Order: sequence, then C-alpha cells, then structure tokens
Amino acid sequence: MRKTEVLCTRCPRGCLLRVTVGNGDVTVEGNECPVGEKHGAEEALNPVRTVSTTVRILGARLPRLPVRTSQPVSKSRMMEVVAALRGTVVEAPVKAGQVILKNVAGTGVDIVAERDVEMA
Amino acid sequence: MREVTVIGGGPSGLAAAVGLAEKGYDVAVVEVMGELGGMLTQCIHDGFGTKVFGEALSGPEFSERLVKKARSLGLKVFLNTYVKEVRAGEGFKEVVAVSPGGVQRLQTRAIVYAIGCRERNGFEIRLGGTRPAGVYTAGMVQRLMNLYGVMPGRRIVIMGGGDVGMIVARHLYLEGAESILIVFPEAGFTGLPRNVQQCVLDFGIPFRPRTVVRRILGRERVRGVVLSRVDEKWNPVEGAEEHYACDTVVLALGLVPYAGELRLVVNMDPATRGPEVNEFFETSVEGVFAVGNLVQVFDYVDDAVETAHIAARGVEKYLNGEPRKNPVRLSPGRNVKTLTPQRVERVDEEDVVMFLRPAVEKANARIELRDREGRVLGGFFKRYVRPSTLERIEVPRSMLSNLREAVVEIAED
Amino acid sequence: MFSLGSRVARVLKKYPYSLSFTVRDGVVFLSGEVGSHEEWVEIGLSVGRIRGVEGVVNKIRLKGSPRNDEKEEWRKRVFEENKKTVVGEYDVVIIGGGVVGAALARELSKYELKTVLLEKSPDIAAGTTKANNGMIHAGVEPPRGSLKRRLNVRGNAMYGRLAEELGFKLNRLGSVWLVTPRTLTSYRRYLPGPLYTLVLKHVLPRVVKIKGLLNGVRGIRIVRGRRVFELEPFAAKDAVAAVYIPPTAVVDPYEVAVALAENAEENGVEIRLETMVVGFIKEGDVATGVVTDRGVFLCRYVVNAAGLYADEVAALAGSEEYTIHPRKGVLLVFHRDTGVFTRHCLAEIILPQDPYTKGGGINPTVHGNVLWGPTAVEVPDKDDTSVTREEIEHVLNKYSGIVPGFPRDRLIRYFAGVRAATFTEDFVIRPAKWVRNLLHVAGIQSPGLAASPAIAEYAVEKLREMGLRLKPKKGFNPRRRPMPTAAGMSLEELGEKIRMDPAWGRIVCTCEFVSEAEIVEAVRRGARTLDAVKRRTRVGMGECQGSFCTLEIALILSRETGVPLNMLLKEEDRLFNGYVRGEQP
Repeated sequence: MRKTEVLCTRCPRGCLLRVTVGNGDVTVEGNECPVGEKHGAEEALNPVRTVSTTVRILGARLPRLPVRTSQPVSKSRMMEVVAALRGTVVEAPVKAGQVILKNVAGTGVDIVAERDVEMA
Repeated sequence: MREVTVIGGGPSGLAAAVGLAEKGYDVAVVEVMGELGGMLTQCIHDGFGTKVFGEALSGPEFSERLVKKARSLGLKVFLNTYVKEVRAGEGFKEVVAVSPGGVQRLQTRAIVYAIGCRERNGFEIRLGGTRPAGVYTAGMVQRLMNLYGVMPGRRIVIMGGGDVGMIVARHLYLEGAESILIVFPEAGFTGLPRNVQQCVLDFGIPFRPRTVVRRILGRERVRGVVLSRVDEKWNPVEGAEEHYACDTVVLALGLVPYAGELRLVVNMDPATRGPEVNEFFETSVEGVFAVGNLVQVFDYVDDAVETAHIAARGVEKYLNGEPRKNPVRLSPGRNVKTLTPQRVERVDEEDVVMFLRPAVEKANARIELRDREGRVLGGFFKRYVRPSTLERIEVPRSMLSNLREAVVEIAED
Repeated sequence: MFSLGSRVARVLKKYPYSLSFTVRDGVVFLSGEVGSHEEWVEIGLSVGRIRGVEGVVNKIRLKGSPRNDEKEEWRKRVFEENKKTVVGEYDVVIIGGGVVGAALARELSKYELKTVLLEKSPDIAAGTTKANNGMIHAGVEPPRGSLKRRLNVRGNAMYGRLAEELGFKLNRLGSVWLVTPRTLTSYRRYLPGPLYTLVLKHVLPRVVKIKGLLNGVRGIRIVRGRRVFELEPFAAKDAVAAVYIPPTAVVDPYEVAVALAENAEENGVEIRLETMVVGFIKEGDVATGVVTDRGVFLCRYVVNAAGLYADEVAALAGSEEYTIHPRKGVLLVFHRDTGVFTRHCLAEIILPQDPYTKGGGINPTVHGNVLWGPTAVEVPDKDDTSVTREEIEHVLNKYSGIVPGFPRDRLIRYFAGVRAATFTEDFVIRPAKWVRNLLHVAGIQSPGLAASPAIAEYAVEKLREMGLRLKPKKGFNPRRRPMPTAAGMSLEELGEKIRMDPAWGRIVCTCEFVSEAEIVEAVRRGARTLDAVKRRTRVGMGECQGSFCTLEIALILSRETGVPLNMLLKEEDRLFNGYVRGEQP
C-alpha cells in the first residue's frame, strides 16, 4: 500500500488528490470530478514530466541553447536527466528539434533543441 | 504609407502582425531587442500553445512558429528599434523610431501596441533595508540563467507566490542553486496549480505562506533578510520576525503593463493599469490598438495571442472606415478585480470576448452581466474560479443592446 | 576666568555617568561609558558647543558594546605588507574621492604639482556624495560666523562658471520657502489671534530675508497672498507668504564629482581608485608617506578629505582632532512625470528648526524627478544606508502638506546617505595641529556640495600658507570634454550622432532613453562597475528601476572591460555568482 498526495492540474480548482496504490488497484480521494480521478491515478502510477534546461553552445550570439526532453520522462529521473547534460557543448548552427543527446540517462527519450540558432 | 505598424515583436505583436498580413495588409513590426519573440525566448519551460496549437510547447518553440509564419509572409521587421514617440498627423500617424540605422519617421495608418509588461520592483512594495547587489526581479534572473548561463547567487529567497516566482524557482533548482525559499503574504500560492505541483512540490522546494520580507540586510551584497509572519490583512505579527541568511533576493512581485509615454496619450484603466480598450482592443484614440500583456496581465500566452487576433479584425474595421458607435461602458463589479474590454462600440456579428480577473475563490461560480439598475442580463457558469486564473466569457451582442453601461460580477451564494 | 577645561567639566557634570576628559591645543578628548548612542552624540555636541573648543574626540564607549578588533588587525597586517613598496613621489596626496576630494584635485591641477587622489571605492563619489538631494544652497541657513556660511555663499556663486566649464547640468531654479499657519505653531501661545497672522505674513519673512542678507545672499524677495501661487501653483492653499531665494540651484552631485575628477585627470592629476589608506610613514611630526593597500605614496603634503572616515585617517596620521558622528538622511525619489508639481526647491518653514540640519523639502532634480527629504537621524554605523518602511512613511507625512495634490503613488525609489558631521558642526579646514604637513578638510556636511568649489579654493590657499609653492600650470585646460546624452539632444542631433556611430541608435534603457554609445563612453571614462555606469548615464533610474536594463548594461560592461559577466561588480561586490550547473563558458 502506497499513499501519495498530488495537486490536480486539470482545472483552476486544483484539488488536492490523495491516492492510494494497492495490489493492482488505485483509489483516488479528494477529486471533485472524474478528470481528477484519472489524473490522480496517472500521477500516482506513472508521473511524467518534461524537463527543460540549457546547454553550452559555441559560435552563436548567445552562450546557451535551450533544450528539452522530446517526450516527458519519469518524474523520478528528472535530476538524472539534468545531470547527464552536464558538460555538454554544442556548436552553432542548430535547428529546432535537432537531437542534442540521444536516450538521455537511459530513459529512451532524446534531448532536442528548442529553437534555431544561427552562427554568429 | 504603411497600413499597420505593430510596436513590439513578442507573441502578441507577432500574432497581430501575422493575422493582418494574412488578410493582405501591409504590416511592419518594430522591436527594441535584437530578435523577435519577446519574453518567450527566455521561457524555456513548456506549457505554451495548448489552445493555439494544441500542443504544450516551450516558449522558444511557440515563438519560432510565429516567427516562421512572419518570415514566410515577408513581414517587414525592424529590430533594435525603439519607438520614442507617436505623433498624430492628418489622417495618419507618425511613428518616430530610433535604431542603429538612424532616426526614422514611419508613417502609418494604424498602430498596434504590443509592448507588454514590466516587473514590479521592491520599491513599489516599500521593501526596506539596504539596496545591495543580489536583489533582482525574477524575469531578469530567468534571462540571466537561460540565455547567459549565469547564476544570480547561491542561496535564494524568492518573494512572491505567483507563476513567475514558481517557474524561476524551478530553473534555480534544476541549475544548481544551493538553497531556495519561497515566501509570500497570502495563505497559499497565487499561481496556477500546475506550477505549484511541477515547480514546487515536485522538488520539495521550501515555502512559507503568510510571510513577507521586511527588510534586506547586507552592505554591498545581500547577507540575509528579515522575515516576518503576517496576518490576513498582511500586517506583520508582533514578535514574529526572523533573520534568514541568504545571498540573493528574487522579486516575483507581479507584472505591470509597461505603458510608458502611451499613458499620456490614451485613457488608462487604473484597475488593469493598462490602456482602456474596446472589444477590438482599440484604445481611446481611433486607430491605435493595444494587445497582449500591455492591456492586462494574461496567465496564458494563448489568451494574449487571442487579443491580437481580435484586434486584427478591429484594425480591419478601422481601415475600412467603419465608424465607432456610442460606447457601452463596462466595469468590474462585485468580486471582479479587472475587466477587459472597458467599452463596446463597434458594429459586429460576433460575441464580445471578455476577460475578467476574479477577486475571490469559489466553486460553482456564476459570472453575471448586469445593467446599471442591477438587472441580470445574462449569466455564465464556471466550475471553479480563483484569482490566479483569468476567466474568459463570450457575451452575445444582443445582451448589450440598448445599454449605456454594464457591470460584470461574480454572484455571491 | 573660566578655563576651557572648567567649562568642559561643568558640561559633563550634568550627565549621570562617570566621564573624564583631557584637553590638548583646544581639542577635547572624552572618555567614559554611557548607555546609548543618543547620549554619546548629545554629550559630544554639548562639549562641541563650548566656546574655544576646536574639536571633540569622543572616545566614550557604549555600555555593553563589543570590541571589534577585526578591522584594526586587518589594517595592521596590510600596513606591514605594503609599507616598503613605494608607488611614487608626490607633492600632494589627496585622501578621499568625494566631491570635495575631486574639487581639490581639480583646483590643484591648475598648478605645476604632482598630485594624486586616493579613493577606496571603485569609483569617485561612491560615498556620501552620491546620496544627497543635489542642492546648491544659497547660504541663508548656516550660522553667520561659520565657515560653512562663508564657503557656501562663495561656492554657490562659483557654480555657474563651473557648470559651463565642466559640462554638467545645473538648474538655477531658486527656492521658495512657504510661510503657512504651521510655521510658528510652537510659538502660538505668545502670539494670540490676529497677531499670529500678522507675524506670519509680515514679520517672519522679513526676519528670514534679513538673515539671508546678513549671510551675504542676494536677491531674496518676499511674496504674499495670491503671488505665492503665481510662483508655485500647487503649493498648500493656506500658505500666506513665501520667501523666494533666487541663487539656489540643483545638480546631480555625482555628475559634478565625476566631472571635476575627469578634468583633474585630463590636467595631470593621478586618480587611484580601489586604494585604501591604512597608515602613514612619519618622520617626527611630518607625514612623509601615505601607506595604502596598494603601496606607499610618498608625499610632501597630505590632504585629508576622507569624509565619513576622515577621523580615522586623522588618527592614523597622528592628529586625531575630531570624531565623526554619522547622521543619516533618507530621500524619496518620484518619477519624472511629477516634475510639474513644483518649479523651485520648495520647503515649508517650521520653527524652531533643528539647529544642525535643514528642514528638507520637495526638490526637483535636473532631470525633472522630484526628491522628498532628507531626514536627519543620528546612527551609530557610518555605513548605515538602510531605509525602513517607517522612515518612508515619516517622509511622506512630513512633506505631504507642502504640495497636497502631489501624486505620491509615483514614488519610484528611496535611498539614504550618511553625513560626516563632527561635534563642532562646522567645516574643519585647517592645518593639523600635530602633523605639520597634513591639511584637514573634514566634517563636510550640508552645505558641502554647494561649498565644494570654494572649499577647494580655500584649502589650496591653506596649503600655500603651509608652504606649498603654487606655480600656475601652462596649458591648464578648464574645459572637460562634455558627455552628450540621447535624452538631452534633439532627434536631428541624434540622427547625426547615429550616422557617425550606430551605437547611439541602440536604446538600452527605455525608461530614460539611454543609448549604448553613452554606456560605452562611460566605460571609456573610467566606469568599471554597474553603479558607476548608472551614475554617469542614468540607466536604471526610471520607472522599472533596472529590471529591464540591468542585464543589458552588464553585458555591455562585460564586453567593454573584458570582465566576464559572472565577475562584474555592482559597486564593491559582485552582481552574480557562479554558472548554471557550474559550466563555465
């Protein structure tokens, strides 16, 4: 039995959901609507997040390139993803969507550039 | 002579320019920075564009879409160009623009201002103490980190429980700040629940509600702050002061429309602190429009961009010489903090889109349109309203016919 | 016949503490212990008022205050490390880069002398000079027999020419002192009924005018009734009369100091920033070298213009003749839009007035902002430039009666400066008593800024009397290269400037309309820190208070000085700290 609390983000109400995960079943309390129930279950079983950060870029007007995970990754692995990017250096030019790092931290998700960057 | 000049190349300005260019008008965009995109270039997190593109894009990705559109339409763009003033001529307006290319006088028939907001600073809340290095607004810190890769400091106190503060807290956490504490005078965070979960709770970032910074300590650099608990009226509680060591204070105190000299030329709304506009986002001066955050602070860029699309239709009416009627004056009533637009004065088929900021938190809320005598003209149901979330309603024009004034309020139970 | 000593003893006996003193050459040294800072100040002032006292060195300790020896240990160590390293030999070493030190430097640059100015901060005017209301007083207020009065009136007259030569902004707008029903409230019981109004309207203004005349101030006029509002349309409606004092002017005090220093440097004076005095090398009663954290500056003469730290410098030299008791003044800054509400420096006469400070008021700046204040509060800490909410409220309440319709919500900033006051409350400009070649130029509080050109003139005369040979320098150029601003020129002129240098067209501070070219020029003229750039160009002084432009300015500063963004200074400490994920570029 695992209990977890999560804020529902599906509407401005922001219900505080209390989710209990048992053997093969999930109960959600505190939700005011069925969307919240679904959200609570997802968050308890497999919360995922998009991670956005920057990496060093050379030869461009600015010294940093904004990057993000191409898909959301497991919430528990967010900091690993950021740590895996430490020391990464990219060279201009770069295209939006370009893969900067494949399969970051073994998550199966790539790190992609968020924007075009021209050579300075 | 150019038909439309858009001042401000952020998402709202670009959306207005693209919208008008698509209709075939001759449009130019004037932007003071060295690239288009406005604040979006520094908002590297996702969540932008769920309404406009149906995807959760990052700021740069959202901006890229508009910029590519603008480029494909061959929009004329003036970068590194600052509009010093706008003068009225006979049937046209003159934009005085300063850039490394010189001082230009651009003649135009219509103007769309999309210059956005500035951040509230510590002086506006009478923050006491010294004024050392290490006190910065949240937007500046975001830009410093995301564009230049520099940290403002190591041990951070963030003042303010809104979206901007939470988002910057996440940036700071991900990029290696030693410690972060968020304080705010309200009982809870005032931003979107999504940000509370994904910026604060996900990382266990410490926060203290009902807490303010009374003064900043430190001669040349922030050494710490004096925190104080406050009551529901935001008054400091006696004996509840505490010294807290830190080296950086991030001010996330909210946004204020950056009207500048425009303030002297058009009518302003003291509630929004932006220009008063009609349902097509036209200011009190005919042919001068205002869109995006300049009109009022929007929570989602999608809504800000919507104002640009509506304004584009308004510019069309102006350029076609459609006259303005006697206005219906709208104002915020009970439980509503701000209301846009402040006037309805054109002939049109479509419903009037109104944006209102609730002053209360309420489930099963009824937003009501009332006339001067208090008669209810129409109602709109919302499952849950709270001040952190701007509400949008579409009011059929029939509801406003034969009125001089109307009030929008949120009904008491 | 009462000796100085017995007069001092009589004053000290009034206090319930065991206090002792010694007297040497007219200087009284106090010791003992008291309970509060207020008492420490009061005792010092009481002794300072005694006829014949030329200085008060107040060594009275505060009960229960800890000894802080860290600073002294640091100083001794740095002294030992540097005392053998000679940097150069000079005729005159000026200690202190405020407006007084800068004025002295410029004055001395007119002569064939090797002069150096030493300043501990990274910029000129980084102390009290930058933190006041910029008023060039006319000279009505100081006591008639004081040095303050004499140099104020002389200095005020010198400002017109100085502004023209050095190219700084000067607005000779005059002051208006309102007489209202509140003016003599304290004396109401002596002036019943109509006598009160009579005195207000006819007697008091004349008294003020006569005081001004006796002080040497010209052109004072009295206006009454409706004419008050022709002068000041927004003044309190119950004002019955006003005294108009034409010679009053306003400047940006840091602009004046920087202009003086630049001209001094152009004429051969060396300016050494980030150079802090830690001691002296003496031969008998002569200071032959000034020891700093950058080495020794050998000297024939030393001028102590070290402001808040002049007492410490005097003690290091061996001629401690006064103690500075810091007096803080808080000022409120309102947006340029509010400039329409007042045409002159405006004040309300309220008597009795604190003998040591002026009442303060509502004063325009040369840019159209309006300053309210200053306050005057004794503080124990020379560096205390903090402002509390209570102080802000106090200033708002104190002056809101002067212009009732003033839009107080247009407050954009507040700050505080600390005055370097001595216990004799007058300028101390005289040769040191116990060091033959040291000249004190200390205790320069208000009207220090107004008097500064005259202080420099007077001080140089004193140096001449001390034996310094003043041979006029051929080729002395009194004119400083002006520093044009985008905000101060027409659009046509700006267009021309952009044609020659495109950086004039890139506006980096949109609140105050400042171009990149001006930032670059400020750096070329010696600005190395954000605050130094800010003082020279006005960036960050507008509505947004730097939230938009700080980063842009820092980037330009980094580019122009070669200092990485991460290492830039605001004034004396770094703006930022570290890199994202520790990744150095």
